[in-house]
Amino acid sequence: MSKWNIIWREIFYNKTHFAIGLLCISVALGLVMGAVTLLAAHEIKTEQIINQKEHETRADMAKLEDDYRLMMRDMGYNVLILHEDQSIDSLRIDGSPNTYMPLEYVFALSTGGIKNLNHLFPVLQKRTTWEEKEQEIILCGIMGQVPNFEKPQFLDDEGRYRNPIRETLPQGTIEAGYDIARITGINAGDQITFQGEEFTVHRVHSRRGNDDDITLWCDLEKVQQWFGLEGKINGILALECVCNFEAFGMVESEVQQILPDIQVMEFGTILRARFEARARAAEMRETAIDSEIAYRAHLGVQRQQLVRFLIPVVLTGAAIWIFFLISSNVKERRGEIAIMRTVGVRESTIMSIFLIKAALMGGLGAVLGSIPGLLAGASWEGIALWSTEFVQLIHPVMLLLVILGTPLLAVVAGWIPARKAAQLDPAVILREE
Amino acid sequence: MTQDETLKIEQVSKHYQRNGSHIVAIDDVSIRVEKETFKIIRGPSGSGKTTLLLTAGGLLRPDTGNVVVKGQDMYSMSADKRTGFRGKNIGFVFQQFYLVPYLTVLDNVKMPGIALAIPDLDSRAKALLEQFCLGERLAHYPSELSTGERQRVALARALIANPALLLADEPTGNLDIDNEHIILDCLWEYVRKGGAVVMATHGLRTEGFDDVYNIKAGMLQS
Repeated sequence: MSKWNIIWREIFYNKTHFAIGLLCISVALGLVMGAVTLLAAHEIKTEQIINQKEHETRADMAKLEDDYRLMMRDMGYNVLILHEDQSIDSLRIDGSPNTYMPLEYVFALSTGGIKNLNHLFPVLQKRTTWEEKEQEIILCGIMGQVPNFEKPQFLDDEGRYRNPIRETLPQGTIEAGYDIARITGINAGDQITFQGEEFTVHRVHSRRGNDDDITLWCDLEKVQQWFGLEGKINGILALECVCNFEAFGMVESEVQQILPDIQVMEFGTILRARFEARARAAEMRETAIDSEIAYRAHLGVQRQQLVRFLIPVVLTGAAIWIFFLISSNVKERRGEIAIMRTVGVRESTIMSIFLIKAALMGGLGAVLGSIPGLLAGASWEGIALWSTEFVQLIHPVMLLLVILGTPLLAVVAGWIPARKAAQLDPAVILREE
Repeated sequence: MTQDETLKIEQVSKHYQRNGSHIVAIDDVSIRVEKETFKIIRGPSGSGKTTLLLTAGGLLRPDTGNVVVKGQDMYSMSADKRTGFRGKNIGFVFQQFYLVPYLTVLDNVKMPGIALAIPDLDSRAKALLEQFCLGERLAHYPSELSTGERQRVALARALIANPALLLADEPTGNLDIDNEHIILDCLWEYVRKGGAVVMATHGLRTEGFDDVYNIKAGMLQS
């Protein structure tokens, strides 16, 4: 006969009592383990979600960027090459450059091996008055599209563009912008008098919403004569160029290597729009990921707060419950304790009988509670059983702590009633009964 | 103290304070019990019989006087040593039996084995139960026994460690006449084998016992 016989037999005899204690510990440990697992699972899941989100968002945004790129690729962008002395402010105020450069500059670019410019158009444009109509206009002298010999793929055998983006103005013709045509009442095919000379209106452009709407396009040579600027131009347009916005600086330096006294500016917003669209796409990606991180962090904090509150409350509740269970057990077994003391069982043995029972309750309850807690915590976060993530949730140290810590907690909770049991005076009990 | 003297109670007194009044449980009691003697303490309820037995058994420290069992002053020992000494040398039987409900008859008898190293515990327990006509009841639980059988189990438990002294507090108080005879026969058998019995009773039939002490208001009269 040993005290273990007493403990086991008493447990089996008083099953309900032990089962209630076990249930209490199991539920408490289930909650603790579930909560701790949930936190760990949350961390794993967060990392997983963020990684996945990053991956998806990067893919989505890369596609978006690519879509933007494809959409804008063919649009190209326009470059205006000016003399270096040209003030941009005065250009904006006047609507046309007031510094000049030789026409030869365009031919220098044409044969200079420029890679980033496509269609070159020398222009001479100035504000002036259409005397016959008493109308303020911008007069723009143009000549045909000057080929860039660095782009032979666009040229035919004779060095002309296969598909020029602008046809050369036929001799004796003029083109009119939308507003100037509307104001002066001219239409394509009309004969008009301009600066004392007769011209046929070759085309009226549709509305563009810029200075082009009040512009008359005419042969460059004529315009040079009218203004007394023979052999001069005040700008070279390079239209539908294709390059990255980040590489735009390279265009200027490339041009300046050939023509050191010029400056290059992009006009129109396509290039910037493209850059900004891509930047916006990247920003959206970061924002999407950041908001997911913030949400998960917020959720994590909430869960941590819950766990911080739950664990002490649950463990204290379980400890109090064990205290009352052992206390009631001691009360029920007073006669038994008295006879044990009478036949020579020492105080320490009596105490150990109750403490071992409490520890068994704690240990078994820890095992029975931890497993469902672990499973519940994992499944709450959608972690599959026995997956790699699930295995990551099983911390041996944590399990050891639970398996050893819970019996210890039960022993601490049962200490006072067990000590009272040991210190019961058998003489008092035997006399009372 | 002679070699045959098992218990010597010398001028033992025990007083209580209860609800503000002073109660004399036992007053200047002296008894000597030798081996192979069966002594009776007789008195009405509340006369101090139980207090005297508990004091004699080392369970209740007297206010004055000495209790010597087998030459050892019980109350000069530490509590732990006294517990061990009691388990080895003194057996107790009570009117209420105090059997452990979840242990079988055999395990109840073997229960002192938790505290003491008793040689051949199992065979000795079976032999005792056989002697007390409970050989067929080894695997039964106390709830399955009659009152007389329960008391015999309690007696077997008291004797399992072969104590020199058996203190019996009204062991036949709940029994019918047949069972009373059986218990008394068992006790006499123990006495004949060298034991000493002090039995408290409120009954009047005391023929055949070695000494009968009457106790009244804690005072002993031969």
